[in-house]
Amino acid sequence: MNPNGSARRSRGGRPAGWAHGVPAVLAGLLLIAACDTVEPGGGEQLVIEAFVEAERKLPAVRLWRTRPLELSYTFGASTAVEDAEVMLRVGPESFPYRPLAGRPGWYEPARSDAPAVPGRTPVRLEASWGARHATAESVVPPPLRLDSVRVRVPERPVDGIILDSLFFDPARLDSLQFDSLKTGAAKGLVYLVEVTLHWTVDFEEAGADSAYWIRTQLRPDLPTRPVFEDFFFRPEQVFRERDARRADARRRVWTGVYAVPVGGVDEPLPPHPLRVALLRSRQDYARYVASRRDPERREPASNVAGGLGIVAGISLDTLRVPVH
Amino acid sequence: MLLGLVVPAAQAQAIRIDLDRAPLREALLDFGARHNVDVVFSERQVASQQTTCRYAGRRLDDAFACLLRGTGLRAERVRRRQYVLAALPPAPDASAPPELPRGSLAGFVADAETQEVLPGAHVYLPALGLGTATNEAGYFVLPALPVQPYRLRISHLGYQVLDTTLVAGAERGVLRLQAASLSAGEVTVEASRERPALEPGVVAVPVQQLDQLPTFPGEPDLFQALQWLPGVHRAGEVGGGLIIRGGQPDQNLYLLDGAPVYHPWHAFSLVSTFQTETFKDVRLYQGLFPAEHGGRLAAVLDAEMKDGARDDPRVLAAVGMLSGRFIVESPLSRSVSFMVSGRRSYLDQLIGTEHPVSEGARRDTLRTGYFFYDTSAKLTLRPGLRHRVSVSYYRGRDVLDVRLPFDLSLDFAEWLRPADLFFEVDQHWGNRLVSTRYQFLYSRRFFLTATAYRSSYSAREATLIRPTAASIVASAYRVRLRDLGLKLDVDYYPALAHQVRAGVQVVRRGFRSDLAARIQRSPGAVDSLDQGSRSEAFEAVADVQDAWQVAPRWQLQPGLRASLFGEDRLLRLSPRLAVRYAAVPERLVLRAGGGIQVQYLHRVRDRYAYLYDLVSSRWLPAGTGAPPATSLHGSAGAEVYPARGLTVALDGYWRRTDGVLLPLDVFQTKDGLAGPGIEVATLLGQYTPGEGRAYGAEIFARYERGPWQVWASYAGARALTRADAGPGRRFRPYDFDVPRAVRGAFSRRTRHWHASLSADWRSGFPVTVPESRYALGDPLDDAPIRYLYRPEVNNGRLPPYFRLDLLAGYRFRVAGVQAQAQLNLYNLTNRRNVIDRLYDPASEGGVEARDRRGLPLLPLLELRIEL
Repeated sequence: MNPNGSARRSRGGRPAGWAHGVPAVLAGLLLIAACDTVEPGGGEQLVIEAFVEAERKLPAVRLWRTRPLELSYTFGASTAVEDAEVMLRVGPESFPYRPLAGRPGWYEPARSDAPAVPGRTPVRLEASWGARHATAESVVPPPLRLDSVRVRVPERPVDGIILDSLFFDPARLDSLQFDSLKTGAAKGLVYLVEVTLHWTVDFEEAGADSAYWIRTQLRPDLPTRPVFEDFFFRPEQVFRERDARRADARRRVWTGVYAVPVGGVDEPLPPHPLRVALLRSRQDYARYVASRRDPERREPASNVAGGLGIVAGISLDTLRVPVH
Repeated sequence: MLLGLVVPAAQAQAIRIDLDRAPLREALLDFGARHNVDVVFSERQVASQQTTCRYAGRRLDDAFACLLRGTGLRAERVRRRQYVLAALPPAPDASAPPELPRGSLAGFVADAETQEVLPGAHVYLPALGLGTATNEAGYFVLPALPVQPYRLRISHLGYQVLDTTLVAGAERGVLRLQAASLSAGEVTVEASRERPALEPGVVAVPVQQLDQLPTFPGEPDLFQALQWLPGVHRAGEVGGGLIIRGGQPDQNLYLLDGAPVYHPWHAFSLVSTFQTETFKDVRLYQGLFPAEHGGRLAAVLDAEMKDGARDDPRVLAAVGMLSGRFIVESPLSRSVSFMVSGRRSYLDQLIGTEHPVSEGARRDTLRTGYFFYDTSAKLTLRPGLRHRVSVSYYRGRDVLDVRLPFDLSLDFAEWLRPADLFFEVDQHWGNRLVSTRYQFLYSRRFFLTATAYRSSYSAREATLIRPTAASIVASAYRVRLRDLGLKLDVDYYPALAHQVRAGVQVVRRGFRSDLAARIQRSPGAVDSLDQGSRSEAFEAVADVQDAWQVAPRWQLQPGLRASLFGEDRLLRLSPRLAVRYAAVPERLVLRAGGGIQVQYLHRVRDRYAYLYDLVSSRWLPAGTGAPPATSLHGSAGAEVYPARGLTVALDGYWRRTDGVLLPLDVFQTKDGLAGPGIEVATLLGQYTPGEGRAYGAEIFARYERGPWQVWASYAGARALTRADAGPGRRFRPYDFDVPRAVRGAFSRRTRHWHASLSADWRSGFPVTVPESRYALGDPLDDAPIRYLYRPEVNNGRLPPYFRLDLLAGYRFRVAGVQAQAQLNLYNLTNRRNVIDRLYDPASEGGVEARDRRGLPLLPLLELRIEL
């Protein structure tokens, strides 16, 4: 073959006929592949709120309904479920519930002699509302009691950051977050009040008894509280009970902090009542509590099958302490 | 289809020839058509020749011998069902059948100006319809050809096509391609139509051309350029990881001179660490990788740094809106050259990094430092044509060093006083790698490449916060991943129809993270954290792949990759197969392929705590608790050349992935100082294995003619995920699922001016739309809280995204220096795209959506000079 001469090729055979159809098939795929099946669903949901407390009588439970976004949502008849059938099973016994007069959405045990619920009792709540059937199960934990509450108030307030909102409003942000410096922070004076709780675990933390969670809460009755308090201080915490700090073999200890803003460095701590709460429950409730503080971002974890909400066995002790 | 290929019907076909003094030319054409044989000859060979032949049998060789008897020619079988006519050599013994000598066409392809070798250049023999591509050393060989001259056509995107003649068996040479240049106001870049079509999913990124399209923030950036390819998106409007064909960002492997880069981003993912001007070759493999690549599920980006100019020194310096940069490349001697580049952001230099402030006797130093930098260098030594040694270095780093008062605002004057209550953030993160590569042409048919590398990713997050005079939060968190790798590849060309590439690789990876923190909420409430995690994983890989030219129009690429990973000795096989069929040579090429990929590394991030994993990512080795992720990938496509300068590519793909880690609680985001901790098991507990599905079809058209260039693409695709645990086990749209995307760019380049107008339209990203609202109370709260009910994740979609960008540049000479000024108008129509949507459940009235908007119109400038 002379490279400078014209080359001739005797082509063996022809392209397969199917080959011409391949681009057409691929082009068709372009349209099919893009089908967007994303679309919101709908439907009204039954929402249950029930907390069965150890060594207390059977509680009243609350049934809500979901409402479309475009409608207002008030805590009244428009959002309550008033015609549901509710049954609470406590261990082997069943207790039917009936609507509570004058309180839309609330149900109470039909029997007035409903007994107190002992610790470690399984409970199951069943609710039927029209075609909706929702159930949830839990276990009532052993009761607990605050052994002691110790409050430490510093002598003088310290400089502290008072935030209107620690975290910027995401809706104001653009892609580069130019506005992220607008934290709305201001400096002020705060008393940092330390509160130490003790309680006793009078059982072996083994088997099912090793799965308890503790929620602690400090609720001072104050006219204003710093917004950033939950972030830097610790007025509340949810943790596994077996991970709690130990004062001795049986006694557990927890220290929380809350801030009390004041106007001047010589201004004394304003006297105020403080409610201290210690709550024991299981993981379902811990997940519920841990996920319920940011309603704009998320809804709380639910343990209700066929509906929404929370049904939890709890044991609770609270104490009101005057702080001055 | 395959059966017909392997056992063609004509194989055992009876051949019957009965010719008497027939023109040889017509006889050969008729014979080829009848018996499905490609016969290559020149007009001069057969001019005025006649043949007389009577043959009945089944052997093609005998039939050719009969046809060519007395013509002084013989038919040389080049490959299956293809013959070339060659002149008979004088036979020493008339009774013995003459044996024609065979030889190889071999050589290197290089840039004529810089002498840089060009990987991926297409070498094509038009007469035989046969081609190959140069390897990463720019070497090609077409072995076992009859010794005679052949006309070669060599092409490479961004270069002018070279037509030349080589003699098979002659010495290897260097074929030099002229870069696309402005000549009489015309750009002479055109893709050669005869180039071998790429496998499905492979994109040889035309970096130089993509660089002429608008980018954000107006500086050349490889990842910005990649966004013009169909199926490639960013997770954010201008930042975020690369989403390639629906894959997650951590499913992409980024290779720089053979070494992995684990965090290829600067400025919180605003720009990539890859400067386009520092590369000579960039290849993007989407889904279907060659057997030599693996370890990721979605894509491999294989970038090769420039060796450095071998003729004259070159200097490029530029300053843009975000950073300044330079590139220097030069020969040191006839056989040694280097390239050095650097880039640094300069905002910190404008506003200062340290600000001494005082108030009375009190003094303090506030800090506002953020910058990033990267440097890369390559030294290349070529002792001869057969040897080449290169050492590549890359280091990139982001540094954020801030000490500011808490009550800051946009009024900077308020900052200028000592800060009693402040926050300090000292964060460093980046990559460093050294790669050494030795390429050795052992013989014409053996080419060896040995690569040794060390690559590391490290991040440090130190925080000091003083929210009150009696409280302090101090933490130090470190993450490090270090790779030591050795790779040996062999290219073997046993025959014209086979190109075999085989390799072995061993990698030792070390993972380490440490956290030390002290959180003093008040003097009596102090928590301390001291945690650490260390592990190592060893990976051994063997791979082999053959590019098998089964028939003139058919090529098969079977490959197999076997890998052994970690202490659990996880053994996985990753087979692959690609098929290419030239349905209408030079007009229509069809391609299909499929394979299995394995990913042994998972990238995760703590989803609770602000004190760690804020800017850093943690890569965890597969093993107990996190099995390797796998994908099964299939794709098919066609490349059509309907007119001169116009290339249209259609591709369809489907991918199934298993074992990917998905968040167990998709709504969980960082919301506290200290989360559950950095232990591996704790971190993995925040995730659950899941599955993914991605499928789509893409069409991409490129028209290049003279100074004009038009790009247009449409991609229809879906990407879905499903978690193995957690509420709802239905497939839902992936966070960055984009069902439809249309892109177009129109550009013109002249001697002094270049301008581009580009448009990007795509479906909005999925968003979780609440269905309704409800309320719930708690025994420790006074009042119920209103919530939104979001039963389905990503059940809605943001409004479509649209952006129009304009870029205009002017080249000029000033004081003997070539300069270019470039204006990039980002978001020309000032459309404020919706990039996120939020809902507030707290109001008593109806819930309204609040939109987060994208960037407005931004003018971006860059000035560049070249020496």
